[in-house]
Amino acid sequence: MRKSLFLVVSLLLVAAAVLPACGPTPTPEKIIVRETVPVTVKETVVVPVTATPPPPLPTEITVVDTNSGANFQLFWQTRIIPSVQEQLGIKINYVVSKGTEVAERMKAWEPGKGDIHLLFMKPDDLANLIKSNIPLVKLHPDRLDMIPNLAKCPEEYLKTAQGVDIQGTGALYWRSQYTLIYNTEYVKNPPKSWKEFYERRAEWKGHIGWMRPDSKSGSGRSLPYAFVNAFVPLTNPDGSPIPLAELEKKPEYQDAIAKLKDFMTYCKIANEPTNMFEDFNAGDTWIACYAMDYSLWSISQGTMPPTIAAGSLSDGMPAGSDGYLSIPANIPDEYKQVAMKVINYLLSDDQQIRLITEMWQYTGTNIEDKVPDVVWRKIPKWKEIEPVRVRLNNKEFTDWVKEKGAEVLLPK
Amino acid sequence: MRTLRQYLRALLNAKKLLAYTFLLCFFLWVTTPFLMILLKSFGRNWFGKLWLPPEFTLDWYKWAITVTNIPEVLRNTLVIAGIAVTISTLIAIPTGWALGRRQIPGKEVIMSTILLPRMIPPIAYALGVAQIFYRLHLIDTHLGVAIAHVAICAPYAILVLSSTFEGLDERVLEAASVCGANNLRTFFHITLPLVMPGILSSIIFTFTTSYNEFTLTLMTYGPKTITLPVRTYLAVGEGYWEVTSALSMILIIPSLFVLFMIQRQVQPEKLVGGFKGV
Amino acid sequence: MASFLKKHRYALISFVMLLPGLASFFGLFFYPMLVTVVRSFRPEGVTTAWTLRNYTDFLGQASTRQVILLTFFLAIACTLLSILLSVPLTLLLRQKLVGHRLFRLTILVPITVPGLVGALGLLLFYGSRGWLNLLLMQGLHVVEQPVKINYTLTGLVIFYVWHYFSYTAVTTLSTLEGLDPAFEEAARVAGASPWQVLRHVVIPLIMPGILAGSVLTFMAAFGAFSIPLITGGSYRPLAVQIYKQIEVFTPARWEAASAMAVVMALLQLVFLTFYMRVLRRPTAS
Repeated sequence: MRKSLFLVVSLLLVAAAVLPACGPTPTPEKIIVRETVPVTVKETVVVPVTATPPPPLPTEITVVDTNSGANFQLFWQTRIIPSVQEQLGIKINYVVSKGTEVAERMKAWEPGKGDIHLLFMKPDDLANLIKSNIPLVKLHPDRLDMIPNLAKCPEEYLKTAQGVDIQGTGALYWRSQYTLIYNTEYVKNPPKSWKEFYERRAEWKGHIGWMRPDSKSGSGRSLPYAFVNAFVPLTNPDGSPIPLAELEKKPEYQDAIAKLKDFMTYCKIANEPTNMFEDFNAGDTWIACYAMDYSLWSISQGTMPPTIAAGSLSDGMPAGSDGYLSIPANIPDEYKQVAMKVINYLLSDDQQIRLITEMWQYTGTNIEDKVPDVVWRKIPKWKEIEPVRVRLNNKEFTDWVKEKGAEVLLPK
Repeated sequence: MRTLRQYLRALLNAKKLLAYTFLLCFFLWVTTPFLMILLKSFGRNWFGKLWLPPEFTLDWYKWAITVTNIPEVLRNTLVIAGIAVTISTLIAIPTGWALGRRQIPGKEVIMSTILLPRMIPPIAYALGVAQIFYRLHLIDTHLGVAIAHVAICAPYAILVLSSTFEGLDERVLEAASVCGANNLRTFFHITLPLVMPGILSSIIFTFTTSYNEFTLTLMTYGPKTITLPVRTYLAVGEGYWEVTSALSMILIIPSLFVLFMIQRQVQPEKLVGGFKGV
Repeated sequence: MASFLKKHRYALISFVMLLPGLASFFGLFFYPMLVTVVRSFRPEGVTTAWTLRNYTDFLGQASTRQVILLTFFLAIACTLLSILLSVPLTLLLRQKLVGHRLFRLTILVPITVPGLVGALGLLLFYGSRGWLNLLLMQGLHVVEQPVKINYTLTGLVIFYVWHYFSYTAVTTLSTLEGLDPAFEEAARVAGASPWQVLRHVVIPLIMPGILAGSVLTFMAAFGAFSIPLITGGSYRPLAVQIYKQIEVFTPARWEAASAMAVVMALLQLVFLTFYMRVLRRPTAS
């Protein structure tokens, strides 16, 4: 007994001594699952020709992702990272994090010392970085020479995100779109507009999926946004936000908020999307509004019932979390070059087409005519989506929902 | 008379049956959640109200391994726990010795002071730790997270070790000094081997504490130091629960090993830290 | 100098040996706590001025009282239920029935397994299509509709007990096993029924152990963070509220969070001191 005790102690001590020693070694074993992918598009890389070859650039960068859901985390690991490695010879150290955490970290950086080289964010995260004066590299139009593919992105998306002037600091990788999803087993005749949805709320009492206003997922904000926006516009016709103070004086707005509160008492509130998907699977939730790509992909994976169908609401389907790529300004210059190379590659037609063909996510660049027709049999064309798409341009409103919504809107 | 005896025996059996029912219910209450995770991690197309998933698959495990980079998460967790255990033990051996074997004025007060971190909710000083670490650039380093863990681990270790030192048999030590061993020799050749079991339990407990620590890690971690509890937290919030379940199943294995060790080697009541000096 | 060293050699060695422990206390607990306290008196985003606003804001909110009540309710409910579970459980385990080792091991499961994994399992088990509801609906036909447990107060209490009862159970068990059987023997010889022995001899004797364990359960439940963060839904005890100040708001509201943390720490200290008083009384008599 005593002997075995000593054995265990010494083993533990050795382990404790050895483990720290192998602590900060820089190359963790990355598991990259390489699979042969049946993509019809061949990989061509558009690498801008630079005049003089500068000193050797770093071959490994850290990408922090605060946007992707589980489906796109997998996509990054199995598709994007291997092909960046293959085509550009750049190793991506891919990390999933949260917007607020990244912001806190970046605040503590000294100039030129940053260690996150590329950020993949929600519009909200990007707008928050801008608002907290955390410097980012201005990509559009300053760096079009390094990122020629950026010219294909719609300009209004490069100018503003969440109604905040982002000064061209973000490159648009994808546009995410919400659709109405419902289980055809329970819902035979889905609503065609928010107003109708509201009128018929009693039919689906307790079975409408809705997100907590302060959820980590952007859906917590986009659902109330689209709902209220259907009753009272939250932006001017030119897309600029109406100040919240002004809105709050309008009786229509107060009425819309009251309707939203009432509507939410008919909903099954979920903490995060994953809870809502559990409810869908259990048959507790029948109808909800959620990101198209995620829903379609879940069905294909067998994590959501095959009886789910998609629809649209004519008075506004919210934009999902559009994907923005940004480069922090406080990092060594050579890393910026590499990051820009990666951005340009991710915006190349091949990569963008892969995004829509494999993941049913709308492209960040305007290349609709190049997308194979087979895609449009599964999802509506962008030009059909665009008129009903509601971008969340009133940041004051979304912030209000995030900070006060849990208290004010949630049913007691 | 015979019927009475039979009746009594039946009553005794019924009592035993009741006892076993209670224990079994308790056992199921604790363990069924893990069975649910296990099923979830292998099931596919499990919709509606079914007891078992209709199809079984390994896909979620593949997915979990691909997305979460398990070797790195596990390595982070173990490295951090390793550093935290080492530092805590190095702190606890002298301090525990002093508190256990020396006459110190105000010992009770010192002991209570050292144990204070266990009485304050961790989130309260985690806020301070985070702010200090941002300034010192200790955020997102293995050492930094481990040092934060020491704040919680060290009091445990000191508590366990001081009671071990205190419980040493005075006569053995006296015998050693009678035989001509000086103080240092006595310490290394007699005292230390005698308290080895105590040190072992302290190591196991600090290891478990650090391995499962969530609050302090959440405030000090970063992309390079994601540990197991933080990763599970992220996965429960954002991923498919099928994948989260697969991840949980993989990451639970070291805990089961620790559980086995505790049962074999030390008294579990020390795990909860006795109640001295508080 | 030399004579001073010689004279105080004993005290000096003791002090040097105590030093690592004191250093870790001051560096890793006292200083961070001080930072938290100082920050709680700063106006938002400012590092020089002083203010009481963080406290008045927090304590002035209508919801604050509910949050504090909720935190206490959860902690106390969890502690009481843990005692109610632990006492019969440990009394049975003491009899060393066949398989008692397995059940002993079971007690330790919730504190060795990462809490969040446990929380995930509990959410699955008690969900509307978890096995508990399936049993009630399809097995026993007690209810038509699934019973809602997850994200309710009842559910949260169950989860708390699952996670934190081990402290009480382990301490009670060890006290019980350390009990001298002679006491019970004597009582039985004197003609007391098993129930009387239990009620008047065993329970009073193990009371200190039960109470000591319950303090540990209480502390864990009061400071609980990860479990309510994931399984609480709209029920947010203090620790979660504090974290939300940093997670939800941009920029993070460190000052408000610090003020809440200080209030929380004080509440726990006051309550524990009170509890300790109560606890020491029966041991002294």
